[in-house]
Amino acid sequence: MAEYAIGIDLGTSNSCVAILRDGKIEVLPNTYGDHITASVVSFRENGEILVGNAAKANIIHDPKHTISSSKRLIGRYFFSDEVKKAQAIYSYRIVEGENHGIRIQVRNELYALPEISAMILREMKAIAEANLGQEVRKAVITVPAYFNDNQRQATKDAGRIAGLEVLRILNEPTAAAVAYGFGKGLSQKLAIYDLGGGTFDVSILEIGDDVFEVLSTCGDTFLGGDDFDDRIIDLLADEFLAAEGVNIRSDRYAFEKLKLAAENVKKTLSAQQSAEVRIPDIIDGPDGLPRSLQRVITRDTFASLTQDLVQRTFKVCDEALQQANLIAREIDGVILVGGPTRLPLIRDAVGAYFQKTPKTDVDPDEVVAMGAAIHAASFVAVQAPAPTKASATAGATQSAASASAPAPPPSAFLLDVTPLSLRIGVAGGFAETIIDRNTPVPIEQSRKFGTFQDNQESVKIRVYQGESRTATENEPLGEFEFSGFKRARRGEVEIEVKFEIDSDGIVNVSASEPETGKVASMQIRLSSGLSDDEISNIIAEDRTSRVKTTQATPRPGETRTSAPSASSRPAAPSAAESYPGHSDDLDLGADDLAQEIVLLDSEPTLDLESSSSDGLDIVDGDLPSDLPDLEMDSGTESEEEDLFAPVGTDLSKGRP
Amino acid sequence: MAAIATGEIKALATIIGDLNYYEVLSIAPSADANQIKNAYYEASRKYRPISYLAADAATRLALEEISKRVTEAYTVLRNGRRREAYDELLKSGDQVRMQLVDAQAAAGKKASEEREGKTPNGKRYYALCKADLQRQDYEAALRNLKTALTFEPTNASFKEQIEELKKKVAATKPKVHGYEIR
Repeated sequence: MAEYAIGIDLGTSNSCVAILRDGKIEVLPNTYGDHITASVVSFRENGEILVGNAAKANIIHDPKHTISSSKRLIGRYFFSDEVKKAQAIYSYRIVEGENHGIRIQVRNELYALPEISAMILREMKAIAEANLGQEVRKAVITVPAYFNDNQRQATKDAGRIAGLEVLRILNEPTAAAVAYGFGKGLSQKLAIYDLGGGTFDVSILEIGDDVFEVLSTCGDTFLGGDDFDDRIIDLLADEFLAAEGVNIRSDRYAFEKLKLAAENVKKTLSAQQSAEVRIPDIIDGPDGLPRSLQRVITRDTFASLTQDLVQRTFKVCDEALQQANLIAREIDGVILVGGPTRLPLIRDAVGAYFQKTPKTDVDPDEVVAMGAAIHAASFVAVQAPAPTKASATAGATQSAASASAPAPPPSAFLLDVTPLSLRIGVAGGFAETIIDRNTPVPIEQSRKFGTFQDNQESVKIRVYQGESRTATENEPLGEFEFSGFKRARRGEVEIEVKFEIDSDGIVNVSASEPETGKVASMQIRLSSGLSDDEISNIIAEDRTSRVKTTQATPRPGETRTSAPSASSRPAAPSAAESYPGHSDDLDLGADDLAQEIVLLDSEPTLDLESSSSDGLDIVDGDLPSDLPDLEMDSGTESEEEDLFAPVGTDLSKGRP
Repeated sequence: MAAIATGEIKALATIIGDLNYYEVLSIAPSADANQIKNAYYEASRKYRPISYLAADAATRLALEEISKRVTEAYTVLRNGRRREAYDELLKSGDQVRMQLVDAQAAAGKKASEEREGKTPNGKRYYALCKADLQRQDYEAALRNLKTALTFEPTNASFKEQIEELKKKVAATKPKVHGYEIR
């Protein structure tokens, strides 16, 4: 039996699973016959866990124990804005976990976000298994292009918990482009406009035959279809409050009803000029008598409510085009991804912006999963013909090897970029760029740093991702300590820090001191996320197996004992995945001047007048202007500043 | 997609650190932008680890090493000014690698030097162009900048600004269809 690898689009609102088999892409339907499944998990009183459409139906009756839009929270810190926003919108309990992580509290149990996502992934896996009639172990899972390393790692963890071998974390727009251009032999520049439930991304790609090169990718992780719903919710709730004197928001049950109604209005407006909301007896008035909500919303009303949101997406498009060195007219085709792009209001605006009618021949809800499936298939396809490799090793020419083999399936080479700049924290609360955003990966870069104080014993290497020169305005990815070098005057110890983003998009950082040859390195692991031990415990505890799947399939694995293969062994977490030099958690204590580092001029041969970092500012133009004094004088201590707190003194830039 | 012997991959990985970016991409130092891009695509097809999933760990590590150098070479060479800075670095000594941040800084320095012109006539026509821009007369600005370029034919900044201006002129020109009379 052939081994299959599936593609899963793990969406904020809905998820989708697809497979490439016999040269055809199929989107696999769930038992209801739907191609998409709601990304909702509901915990029932009796311990059962519902996932998908059944769970979504539970939102109204049991909003406190029904988790939706969990993708908005995965891989985030508890102190992030997104958490505060989610706490205001969602009825389920979001609490703080270890290392500033997030946990969802359901009755007496705490769940980590990857665990919730794993339940959805498990359901998608079950859907695939029901359709294919055999076990599925391998998958490519997609994420928004603008996801940072923390969010990617957490998604990968979710796959592991769900019992999947995650072949690759693939960017959604890249997947969409692959689904669109695969096997067509195109030579085009494409824009992928991806407005999902919770995120917005735009990517500019160049397709040259079988190569899919991402030229740039930009995004806004705080903008999505949900925000369009919110505008309708606000309108209805505010009007109702003014007319009836009751705030629907104050009643969880009524509010959930309103949220569903708003989502329906949005969907109806895709097909009709107006939509009517009618919720009888939604809430009791001040006099104790029930009040009903009734309101007609036209496309025009909706357009004016959401105009600024649409404009925000075009600011991101401007940025992406600029980074790709193109103008809108040079784009050959525009592909829409995500349910909200069905809105005529968005289609028209996108068409006007790119001066091109967007392609509508691919379903915006399915295109990402399809692209992921194509990519997944290339992993199992190349793995199969082992003899070919052996003959190649023996020195046989490729033509000889391919003559005997059937024509190879069309392939897709993905050349992706890193969406966010990688930075390192230096004295004064700054973050110096090591790898700029939109740099192709895999890539390795290094810079030289010096100690900040005389006789310094150790340095702390702090890694950030983001576009700000102020360290705390970026996402902290992790940190580690490096020590054991000779003691010397400040700046005299030279430390080379090497950043590496591998083909999987995973960040590795190492520090070395040439004089002693000492090296310390770490693979950046989500600092607020789950440790390997925790993941192993979660897998052992197997709470995700309480998921009551509606997919009509016998427990996979049992049915295919007759077909033993190397892949049927359990996907136990590999013990090799523990990282040397990994410091478990972020040190949130006071910043330690004794561990600071400063940037050294790394290429004196170039004889730069200005320091290289200053030069970068000018060239890029997208970084805040260099105002070290101002930034450092701000002595206010916010919660966020406590993390990697700035030095808070009037140190000059720290160049020795 | 050519399957390459693993021995060859490992051998390449050990020496790739000593190759200059042109050698990494197997192109001539005179290669144009298209040739650079094609070479990058070709090298990616050849060395992407996804083509060798069945290979042993050492081979995959070697592929990763090669892929990283290929990307680095492409990232420096695809940008005209970074490439110029790199060419100077190659000429000046024994270094074959350039950190992107440094390449970018050098490119930025070059850009600011070039922006206003390097020859008296180039400077003069650039000043005229700037004055036109203030009056938002993009067509006149374009003409003057093109003249400036004739005095400094290698000025990449002028070339870039001309492209920008062309786009601006095209964008501001009212769209008049052939059959329409306004």
